[in-house]
Amino acid sequence: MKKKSLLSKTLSLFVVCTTVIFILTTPLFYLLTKHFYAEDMADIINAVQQGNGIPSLDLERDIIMGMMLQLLLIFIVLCFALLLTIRFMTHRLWSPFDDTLKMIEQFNLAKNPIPQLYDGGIEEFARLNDSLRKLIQKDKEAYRIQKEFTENASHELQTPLAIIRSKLDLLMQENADEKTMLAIADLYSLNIRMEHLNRNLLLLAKIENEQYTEMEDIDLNDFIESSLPGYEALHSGICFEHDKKDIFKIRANRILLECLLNNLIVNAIRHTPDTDGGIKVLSSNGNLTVYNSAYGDSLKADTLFLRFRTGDVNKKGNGLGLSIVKAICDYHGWDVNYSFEDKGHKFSILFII
Amino acid sequence: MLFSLYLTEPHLFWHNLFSYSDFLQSCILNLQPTLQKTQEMKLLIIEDEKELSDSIVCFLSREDYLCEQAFSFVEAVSKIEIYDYDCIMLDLMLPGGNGLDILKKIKKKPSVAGVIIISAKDSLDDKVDGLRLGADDYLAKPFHLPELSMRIFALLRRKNFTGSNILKNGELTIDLLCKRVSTNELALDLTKTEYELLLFLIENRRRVISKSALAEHLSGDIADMMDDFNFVYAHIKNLKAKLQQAGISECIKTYYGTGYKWILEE
Repeated sequence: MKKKSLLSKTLSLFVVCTTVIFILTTPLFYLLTKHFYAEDMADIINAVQQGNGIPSLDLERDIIMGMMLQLLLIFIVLCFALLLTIRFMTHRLWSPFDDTLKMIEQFNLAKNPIPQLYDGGIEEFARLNDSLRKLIQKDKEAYRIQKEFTENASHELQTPLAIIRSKLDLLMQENADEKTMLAIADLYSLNIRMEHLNRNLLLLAKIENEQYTEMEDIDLNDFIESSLPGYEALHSGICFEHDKKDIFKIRANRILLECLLNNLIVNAIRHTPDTDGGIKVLSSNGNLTVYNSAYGDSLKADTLFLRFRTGDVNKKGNGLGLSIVKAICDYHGWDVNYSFEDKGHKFSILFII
Repeated sequence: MLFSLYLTEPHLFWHNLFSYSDFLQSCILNLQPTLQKTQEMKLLIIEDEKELSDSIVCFLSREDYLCEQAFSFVEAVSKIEIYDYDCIMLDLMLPGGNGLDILKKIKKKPSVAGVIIISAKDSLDDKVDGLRLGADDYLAKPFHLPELSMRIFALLRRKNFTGSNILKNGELTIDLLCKRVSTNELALDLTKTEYELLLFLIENRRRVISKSALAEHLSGDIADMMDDFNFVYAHIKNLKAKLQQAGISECIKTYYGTGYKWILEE
């Protein structure tokens, strides 16, 4: 089907609309002409035919009045046609554009397939949809490549990292002197840092690829209780407060929940100046709060959850921990917030149940 | 028969020939240790990364293990079909096939070989699939060699190759079932972490273990989120003090704060 341009379509619609209204109002014009405009003429013709004298009439006034009325009617009809075209026809004409706009607004590069766009047989919209489709296709391709790259790169890096680690384990066995041993220790910590970074990138890629589909109902309090001993090996005196009677079930992926908790608590351990205590974990009313006493001031809340932003000058961590927290919360539809209270950092997660 | 195979399928012929030479070689290897020691564990390492496989062999051969290597799917399958092993370390991604198929083949055999999956694929599915198919343990790459050694030790013990659940080292006696440690009938009061630490050190005796390997053993994945492993030092210090109290001193040697070694003689 040949597509028409927007302008020609509007014009043709206007013409059609006006014609229809004029046809519909023809009886009105007829009546108007008969009773106002041509009324006097008809009287004169009747009188002349019957041989009577011309009746005394204010012909000028009547004709002007009739013409004026006719003009008014035409004006009203035209206005009506215009209004109708603008109000309803244009609305119908532009509805494909409206649909496209809605679809684009709701479009999520990660989740949705390329949307089916309707052009309504209009050339401009067809062009718009075509370019949008191409653009989205390119974006999706770029997105896919980026995702795959992260995942593949992480996979490929794992092997050399494993080899380095095993070689270090072997090197440790050679009765080396202090300098060498300290160098080996440095290499160990570098290896672990790289390994950690690699694992985190892989995790983020997997969350984005939505590879964690298995969800189960987990009692959060039980879950925290069972992971506490692991944290206490790292830092003594972590205080966990919750209402014992409260059963706090959430629907989550077990691996991700564990990862979320690990990141929040290790982050707290890492940034507290206290060697004993200073960390509080609170769970109540659909809320989980992790609080730790801090060295300094509040962190910048707006950039806190971005990747590779470390608030600390000491450059601890790899700057991915909190973005993982954010990604996991987004994945489950939870809300995570940061605030600075009582000279300490407070992260709270609101589970929407 | 071999000659006819050579005519029809030359690559199989060569493969078989290699298998036979392997077989002879292992017969000789098998004969040697029986003269010296009665019990020697036979391990097979199925891993396509030669460097990693070599490291594992080098590390494990310090114990009384006899290690053999397989670098591809075909090689692994042919070795499994010919010999019996006590413990098999299995990588899942191999050139020529999936490691899980090898696992099925191992389980079809009447032997009681223990299988530890070592895989870079750290997805949970693999772990679940592997354990469902009958693997005994799962270790995600990268791992520390002392950790692998510990897992092998635990597996062999579980499979009851070494017989008892009591581990003795000098005056120390560890009941592995009740997780109790005692010296000369005197029980030691150790925390769970200290117990794990002690067991790890003893089972890796004669080796220097890095602080990071200890940290990872003690707290798993959480450990590598930490920037330093000073918590290991604290636990070692506590363990040393408790052992000292029980009359065992000079049992853990520290190497410049980077590594530890259990030096108590048996």
